[in-house]
Amino acid sequence: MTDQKSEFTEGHIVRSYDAELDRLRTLLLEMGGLVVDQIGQAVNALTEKDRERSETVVRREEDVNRYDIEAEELVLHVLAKRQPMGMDLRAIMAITRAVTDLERCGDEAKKIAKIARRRLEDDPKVVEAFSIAADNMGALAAGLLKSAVEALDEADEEKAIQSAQADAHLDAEYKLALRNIHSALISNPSLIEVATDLVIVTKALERIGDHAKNIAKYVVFIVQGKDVRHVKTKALDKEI
Amino acid sequence: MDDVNIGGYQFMEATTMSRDRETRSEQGTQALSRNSAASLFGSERGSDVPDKTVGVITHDDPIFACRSVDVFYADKQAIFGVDLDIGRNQVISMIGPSGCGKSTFLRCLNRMNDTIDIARVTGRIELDGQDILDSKIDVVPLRARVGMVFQKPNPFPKSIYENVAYGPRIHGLARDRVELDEIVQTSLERAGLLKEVKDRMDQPGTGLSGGQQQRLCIARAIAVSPEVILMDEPCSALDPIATARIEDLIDELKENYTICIVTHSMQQAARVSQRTAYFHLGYLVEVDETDKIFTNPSHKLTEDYITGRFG
Repeated sequence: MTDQKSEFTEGHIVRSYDAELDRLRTLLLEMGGLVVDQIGQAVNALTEKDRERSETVVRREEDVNRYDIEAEELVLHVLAKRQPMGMDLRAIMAITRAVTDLERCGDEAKKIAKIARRRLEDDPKVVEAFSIAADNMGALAAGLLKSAVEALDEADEEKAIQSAQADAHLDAEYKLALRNIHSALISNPSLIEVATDLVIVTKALERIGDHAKNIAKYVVFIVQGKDVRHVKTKALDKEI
Repeated sequence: MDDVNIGGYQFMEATTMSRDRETRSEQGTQALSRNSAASLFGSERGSDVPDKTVGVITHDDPIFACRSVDVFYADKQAIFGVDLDIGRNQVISMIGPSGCGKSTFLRCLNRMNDTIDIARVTGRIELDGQDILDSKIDVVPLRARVGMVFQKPNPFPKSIYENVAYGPRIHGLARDRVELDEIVQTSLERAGLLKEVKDRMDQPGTGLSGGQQQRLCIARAIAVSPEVILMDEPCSALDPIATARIEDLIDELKENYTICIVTHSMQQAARVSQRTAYFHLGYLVEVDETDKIFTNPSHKLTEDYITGRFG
C-alpha cells in the first residue's frame, strides 16, 4: 500500500481530522484486500480440496468482522467529533455502506469455505466439475469487488460504472451454472447433494457481485451527491 | 460418474483481477493499493472566485431583491456586485470567513452602513419593489420594517417593560396604555421570554442572563411589527442552552417574519436556515438550499469552507 494522499483525507485545518479520515480510507482498503483474498482462498479450498485453506478462510472471517467493528467505531467518533459536511460527509456515508457490503461478502466467502470442508471426500471428477463453475465465477466476483473498492477509494466514477455494469457477466455465468446443474441432475439424480452445494456456492458468488455493484454505485454518491442505488445499472452512464 | 458435467461450459475471462494463485499469500493479505493517479472530488472545479454567483440567486416570492450591490469603505471595496433575492418568511443564513463581507451585506439591508461616514453603497436593494438605497427613503420607518439583533445583547438601561415599549411608543403604534401593554406582552411571548419575566417587568433589562437579554432584544425588534429581522451572530456570546432557545425561537419566528442571519457556526446555519449564502473576499460565491450547500455544494470554495479546509 502506498501512502498516496487523497483530497478527501487531506487539507483540513485540523490535521488530526485528516488522520482520522485517512485511517478510515486505509481500513476500507485493508478490509477490501482481505475480503477479495478470502473469496479467492475459499474458492481454491473448494476446487483444490484444500482443508487448510478452508480453515484459514473460516478463521480470518474474525478479522473481517474486526475491520467492520473498527470502521463503525471510527465513523461514530468522526460524526460526533467533527460533524462532517460536504464531500467529507458523502465519503464517510459511502465508506460506511461499503464496509457493510464488504462484511457481507466476507460472510459469503466463509459460507463457500464451509462447503469446501464438507466436500473434501468427494470423487475427484465431481470436484473437477465444481472447479470450472466456481473458479470462473470466483475470479469474476473477486475482480469486480476489487475494482469497485478501488474505484471508491479513487472516487473514479468511470471505473465504478464499468465494474457495476460488469456484474451482468457474473449474473449470466450464474444463470448458465444453474442450467448446467439442472441438466446434470436430470441425467444423474444421485448428484443431488453435491448439486445443492454448488447452487449455494454459485449463489454466494452472485451475491458478492451484487455487493460489488452496490459499492460501485456509492462512488456516484461521493462524486455527485446523487443516490443511484436504485437506478438501473444499464442506465448508470446517464448519471455522469 | 463420467456423465458428470456440471461446469462444462465456456466462461468469460475475468478481466479485472489477476488470477495468479502463487502470489496469493496463505497468511496475510495485501490491502488494495491506492492509485497514484487518484484525483478526487471536484478536481476540475476552480478554486477562484466565480464570475457569477453559483447556485440559485432568485426566489419565487422575494421580500428583498438585491442587484449589483457594491459597498465601499472610502476607496476600498468591501462587497462586489452581489445579486441575491431573499425569500419571504424564510430564514437565510450568510456564512463565510471573517472579513468576507457577510455582515457588511447584512447591514445594507436596513441601511445601517449609513452610520459609517466613509461607507458608500451602490446598486439596487428593493424591499417589496421599493429601492431602499434611494436617498429619499426615511431610514427610521425602514429600520422598523427591517429590525436588527446584534452579536452582543444590548438592552437599554431601562426596565424590561420599557425596553420593549420604547419602539412602539416612538413609532406611535399604540393608542393607549392598554394597547401598549398588549404589544409588550405579545412581543415577549413571541420571543419566548414572557414566562420568565412576567413577574418582574419593572426590573432592569440588563439584570437578565445573556440568553434572556438576547431574547429581550428580539422582543424589542418584534414590538415594532417588522417584516424582516436581521441577526448578526446572535448566539456567539451565548452558551449552548441559550443558543438552542434562540434557534428554536428562529424556527417559530419564520412563520411571521423573514430572518437573515449571519453566523460563524456552520452547524447553526445548517440547523436554522432554508437557504444559505456563502461569501468570500466580498463576493457572493454560492447561494442555494441549505441542504444542498452542506451536503453537496457546487463551488470548491464553498466545499473547502464547510469542510474546514479553508485557510
